Parts: sequence; C-alpha cells; structure tokens
Amino acid sequence: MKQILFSLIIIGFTGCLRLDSNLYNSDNTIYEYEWDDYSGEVDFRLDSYYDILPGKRHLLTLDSKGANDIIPVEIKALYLGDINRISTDTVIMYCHGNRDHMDFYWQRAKLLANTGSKHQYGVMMCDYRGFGLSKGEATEEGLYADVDACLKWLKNNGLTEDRLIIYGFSLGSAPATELIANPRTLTPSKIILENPFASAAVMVADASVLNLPASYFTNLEIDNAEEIKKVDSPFLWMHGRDDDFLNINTHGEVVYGSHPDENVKFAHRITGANHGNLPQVMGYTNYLTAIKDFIQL
Amino acid sequence: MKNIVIFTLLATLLFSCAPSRFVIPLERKSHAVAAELGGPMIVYNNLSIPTPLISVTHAYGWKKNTTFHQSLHLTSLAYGTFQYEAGLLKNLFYNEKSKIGSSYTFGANFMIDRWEWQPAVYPNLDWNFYWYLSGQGGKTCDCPTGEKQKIVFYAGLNNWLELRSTRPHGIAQEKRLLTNPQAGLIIYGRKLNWQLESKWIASSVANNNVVVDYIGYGNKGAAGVYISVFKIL
Repeated sequence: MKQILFSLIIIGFTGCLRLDSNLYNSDNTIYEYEWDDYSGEVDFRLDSYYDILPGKRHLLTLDSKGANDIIPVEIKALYLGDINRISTDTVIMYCHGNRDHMDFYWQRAKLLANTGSKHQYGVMMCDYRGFGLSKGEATEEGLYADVDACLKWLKNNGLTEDRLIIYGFSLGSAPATELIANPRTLTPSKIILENPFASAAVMVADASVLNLPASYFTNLEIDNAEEIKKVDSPFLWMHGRDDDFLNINTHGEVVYGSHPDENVKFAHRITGANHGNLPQVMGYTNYLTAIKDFIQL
Repeated sequence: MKNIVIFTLLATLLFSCAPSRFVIPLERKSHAVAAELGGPMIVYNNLSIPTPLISVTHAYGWKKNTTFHQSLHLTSLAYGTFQYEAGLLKNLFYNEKSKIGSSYTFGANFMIDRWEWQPAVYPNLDWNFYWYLSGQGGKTCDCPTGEKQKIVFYAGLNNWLELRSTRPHGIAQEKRLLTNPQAGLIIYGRKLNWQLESKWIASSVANNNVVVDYIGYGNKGAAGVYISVFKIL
C-alpha cells in the first residue's frame, strides 16, 4: 500500500516535458521571402521552364483565428495565379511540410503552378504560425486554423468547394486531412497526400521500436489514418518507397488503406524516392500529369 | 530531412533502455545505489551523441547469489511517464580457478503516464558471462585497502518482450522479442565503482526508415553507450 501511495505521489510530481514542438522544424528568423533568390537548402531546384509569370505571385497577409486564439494571428500566405480568376479557376491549396518556411517549399509551389499548363490552376500556400514571417507559435490547432484562413480568403474571392483541391505534403497531410474530414469554411472536393504520416502514435511506435503509447511523449492528436476514414472524396496518394522519414509501410499504406472508397482512390508508390525528392524521382512531367489527371477525373 | 530536429528526442526512450543493472550478485543483506547515464547513439545536428537517459537504482542482496534491484527512470519522469524497473539477479555459477561466472536477471519495466494513464509492461531477461580481468573473484564488494583492484569484463544478451501484438491502427507488431547484445567493464574503486557498457539495441530491427537517425551497425538497431556509478553501502 505504501509503495502504491509512493508511486502515485511520484506520478503527481512528474515533469511536463513534451515532444510536440519537435514536430515543427520552423525558421522564423528571416526578414523577407526570397523565392527564386533563396540560396538555402531545398529538396530540389527547378529550371526556368517552370518560372512564375510576372504579376502571378501574390504575397498575402491573413488573420487566422483558431479555437484557442483570443485574438487572430497574422500569417503570411502566397497565391500563384490571377486573383481575379479565382471565381472560375480550380485552386490547389498546398499545405507544406514542417521545414523552415515558404522559401523551402517555393520550388514545389512553382511546380504545381505548372500543372496542366502554366497557371492553369491557382496554387495557394501559407506559412503556418511560427514559420517564416507568420507570427505566433506553431501548434496543432494552429495548423488547421491557418489553412482554414486561406480557405476563407479563397472563398471571399469566389472559390467554390467543387473547384478546391487540397494537397498535403508530410506534416501538411495533417491540415489537409483534417479540413476535408472535418470541414470548416469549405469542403475540398479532392485530396492529394504526398508522403503523409499516419498518426503521432505511429511516429512514436516507429521511433521507439516497441509499441509504446504515444502519450508517453506527445499530446499531439494528429491521426490522419483515422480521419481519412470519414472522407469519400477522391484521394490521390503518392509516397516514396525509400522514404526514410515517414516509412511507406507504417505511414502511407495505412493512410491509403483507411480511405473507404476503392473506386476513387489512386496510389503512386515511387521506387527510389525518399521523403523530399518524390517529384524529382518520379519526373516532373509524370508528377504533374498524375496530378492533372486526378484533378480532371 | 532526417538530420533535422523533429522527434529526435524520441530516442530518449528507445524502449527506455538502460545498462545491465548488476551483473554480479551483492553480498547477502548488503545494499547498493547506482546512477546510470546514457542511451542509444543518434545523429543530432550532425553530431553523433548518446541520448542522455538517466536512471537511479537501488539493489539489495536478498539471498546468497540472489540480488533484488529496482530502478526509477528520471528521463521518463521528466516527460510525465513513471517508469519503474524491478528485477532479480541470480548467479548461475562462478569458477574461482578461471574467474569466470555467469548470471541472469529476470525483471520487468512498468510504465504509466500522467496524460492518458496508459500503462505498459515489458518483461526483460538478461543473461551475462563475466570474467575477472584483475583482482579476486567472488562476490561484489568494495575493495579492501591493499587488495588488487578488481576489474570485470562481461558480455551477454539483454531481451525485451513486447506483449502487445498490434501496433496503432491494427497493424501487426512484427518484432515481439528484441534482443540486444551487450558488453561492458566494471571497475571497482576504493569509494565508488564504475560500469561502462556498450549495447547493440534492437539489433534485428532496421533503422533506416524511421524518424530518428539512430547509429547502428549495418542499418540495424542503435549502438547504446552507458556509464554507471555505484556504491555498495
């Protein structure tokens, strides 16, 4: 009895360290976005064929207010395309991964702006709070609120749900899946996930080898594998077979397998692709064709 | 991508590993206390470092050739998880002529967190051979003045059993038994005793497709490095 009491007292005094913030590998020390002039590390660099046309790049400042925010958080977002055509264009909402800021993902956004033909589709991306020039600190709820702030802006500019495609890469698979499974402002008509993670629980299990409960390390509730079960919209999944960060078998296959409708889900398992170079290994043309074909289903 | 900070600290509880607590039983009715530091080697900011797992241990010579030990993992505690380890060390044999002996420990790790009160239990089995490189063989005790310093080399296997058969989302837990080869040195001093150990953690598990950059051998498991200090009371 004494030992049980002693144990409970110890538990009561345990620490509060959590690994949640380690999920966000952000850099908010920059003073401006450099886009094509950015010389920092990136996964790949495109040649001039994929350049954005003059006047098609718009840096935006948006207010994002999540459930836990008393006042809105100011975030930075990017729109590639013609803002006046949002009311008729199809738009890809690109949710980036957990690295640095939008300069790191600029090449990817540019590539998507070449889907079909140059600027055939609008592309939107934002820096989550705590990333780049966005203010605040990164949180799980913040991810969802910030992407939803972009959707509000798109809606205010005339976008309708049938022309909204949501795309999540790596960490971005969390807001992409959450916002199609539990829509807020707009319900995307289709979802694309590139190298998604299944859940915080799988991350912990992969890293700790044993099947330790995720709550030993993190309070993150991200569970794409569970949320995707609510989605009956078309789903395109792409994953590198050699992804050494988010294992294709323990993460991607689990998410893909959880989508309930076999008739509207499509998989591209890319041999030789690691976490960051799937478009490059797949070939930019093949990658863009796969996305275009999926959008035009 | 793997060299970034994300979830690197998950390594702090790579199955909450620790060095062999005691390899040679204590004298009957004697106590010992120990502190252990170390863990699996990871790449962190382009540096190879052992993760700083910390635990404290108490041991008691329960019977001749049988020692009870219990440990509290302080790193786990800092993350809100109470991790208690208990085990019985039993000497199998000791040959005074060759100064070689063997022992095993049967124990378990009990864990529960303060966030969701999720419990976990992991039975452990350690089996070691030990060899007195210097000094007298026999039971572990502080060296009397003038006696030749004792140095013991040991090598063996540490085993963890995963009781859960499924991982999150109903995926089968492929590796239920994790075997970790280990070797170390015990150096007995006049006041404090030291134990250095290297362990190949999860030696049969591929380490090249997980979020943490573990340093293993041939893309398997992680090399663990530990240092312990203990005092026999």
